[in-house]
Amino acid sequence: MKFFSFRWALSLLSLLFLFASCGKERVKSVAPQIVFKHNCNGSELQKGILNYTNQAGNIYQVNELQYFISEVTFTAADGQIIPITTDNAIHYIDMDVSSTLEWNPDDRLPVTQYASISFVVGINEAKNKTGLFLNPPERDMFWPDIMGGGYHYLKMNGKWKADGDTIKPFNFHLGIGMNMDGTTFYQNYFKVTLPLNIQAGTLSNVFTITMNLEKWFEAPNVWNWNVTGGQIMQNQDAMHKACENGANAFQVTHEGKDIVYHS
Amino acid sequence: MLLVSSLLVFVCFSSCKNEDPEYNPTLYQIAIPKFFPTRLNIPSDNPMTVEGIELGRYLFYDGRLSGQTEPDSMMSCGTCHLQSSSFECGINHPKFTGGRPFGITGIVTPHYMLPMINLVWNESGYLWSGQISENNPDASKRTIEDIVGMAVTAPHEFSGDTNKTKALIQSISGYPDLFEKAFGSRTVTMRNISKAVAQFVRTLVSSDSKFDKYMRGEQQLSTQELNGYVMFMTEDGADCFHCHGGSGNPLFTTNLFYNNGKDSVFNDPRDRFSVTGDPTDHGAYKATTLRNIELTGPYMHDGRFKTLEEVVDFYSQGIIWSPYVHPLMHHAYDGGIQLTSSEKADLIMFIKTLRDDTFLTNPTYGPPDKLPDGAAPINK
Repeated sequence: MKFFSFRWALSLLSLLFLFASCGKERVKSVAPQIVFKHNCNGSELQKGILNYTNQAGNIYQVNELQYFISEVTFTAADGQIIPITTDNAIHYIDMDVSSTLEWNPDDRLPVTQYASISFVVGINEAKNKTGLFLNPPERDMFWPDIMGGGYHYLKMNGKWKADGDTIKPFNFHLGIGMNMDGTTFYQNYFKVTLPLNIQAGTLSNVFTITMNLEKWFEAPNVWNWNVTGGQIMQNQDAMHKACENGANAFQVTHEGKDIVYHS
Repeated sequence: MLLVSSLLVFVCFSSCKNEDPEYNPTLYQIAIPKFFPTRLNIPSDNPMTVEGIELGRYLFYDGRLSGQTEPDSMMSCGTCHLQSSSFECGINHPKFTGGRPFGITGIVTPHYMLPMINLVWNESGYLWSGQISENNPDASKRTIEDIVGMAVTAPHEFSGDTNKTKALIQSISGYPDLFEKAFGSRTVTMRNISKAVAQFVRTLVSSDSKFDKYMRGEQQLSTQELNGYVMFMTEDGADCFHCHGGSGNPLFTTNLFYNNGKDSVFNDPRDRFSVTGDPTDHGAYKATTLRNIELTGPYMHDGRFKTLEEVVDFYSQGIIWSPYVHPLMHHAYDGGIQLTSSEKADLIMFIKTLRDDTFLTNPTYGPPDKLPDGAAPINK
């Protein structure tokens, strides 16, 4: 009887182990979704309305916002780096095109403890070549070859109330910079790293990246359109300062939503 | 059992009956030129075929498409859309004085013309407002096919009756055969007329201008043309490229809509605002392609400029500031880009490199020698 009990207990333990293993196998990875939102110091962005004031006191409006993010990577607490590789690791966002505001890459995200998410605003020099995008809307981001080629990293088009209360247009465009005589080009894309606090055992698959537009004009460089003027594509110093500010323009939140597990 | 077998045999025969051995059209593949978009805007219910295009070309140039047979009353697409004017009527048209077309009854069109170039790559709606688009809630106003049907009935175009057009085309010898080859039925329908013409229009590809050859490394631009190109492509220059494309967008249009500062009051019921209801779209119209632009005057939706020189003068010194001017018109507050006379000349020289004589003389785009019944086509 004792013998049978021992064998019975052993079988039961084996079965338990097997079930537990199977459970772990099932919850191995999730399909990530990256959502893009835009606000101005917490207020929802309202297109074409002159009701925002930047750090320098410029009153401004935004009519269009289009940009690329690329090289999205998740860094686990143990240092493992998981890159998003879908779509050549480049995603285009247009605040007027709802389909661009959600990115559902084919990549899988292992279920583990994550420390951060990183991405590049713009496209790195290895990929940012004219001809990379032949179809709209990405094609319409092209950056003239004579100015370095490739694609705008970001276009923010709007208007501001200039000195004398006159309304002037601005084109806050970022891309490859060049010096005055067009002989040297500068790669202005920049990397943003945002902390995540995803503990082992908790599952997150939806990552919302929010751009606070006001941060582009705040620090470390107070942006004053009355000083920079409305156009900066051929003003490397201004683009450099804008990119320094842009590193502070993003936040990320995460949640678990309709999770589909993959083994 | 016998009943089931009989039914199966009946179904089999019925199915076989629907397979018309004569209907075997040849799929037509558009050759995508270097640097051009790879995505084509071809409706899934109207694949391009050699037979459909052939039929469409006949109809495009057959004045009886209007349902009329009197020479003075006949009208077709080719009446106004001349190949030599990049499929606009052109400012020197003998009938449409000053380039302003009008319909059979004399009613002028609401806007001046847009060229028919590279429309197979247009994903942003047709006409100046883009009202004919996939987003139109009215399913009969979404595609080039729909525009063909609209042209037949519009008072400012054929002012006709689709039933009359169908009956007339049906009665012309040769057409039923062509419809059968293209669509598998000898019965002429307005939908199939529209499909055929749309197929032909989608073949109209311009990709061989001097600038195209420059981009392909086949031909050099002159110093003056290169100066104009730099002006065209720089923000501190004339900044044309943001709306009109360039090296990264060989269509020379984004096909999008902009208020370019022509007016300060906007009350045209056919502007972009009429489509979107977005207040920032008041007075906005489609940016036209600059390909063959030297041949497509008069310019703008209302034809207010007769020459390229007038257009460049406008962008240089004539822009009118209003709250609705698109932000990309960043020189608007100063009245324009303030070009010198030599800069204007350089810019125009570059723009003229976009003239595509291969397109303008391609015999497959022009009228056929004869229509299916031997009659003469329009403009032949």
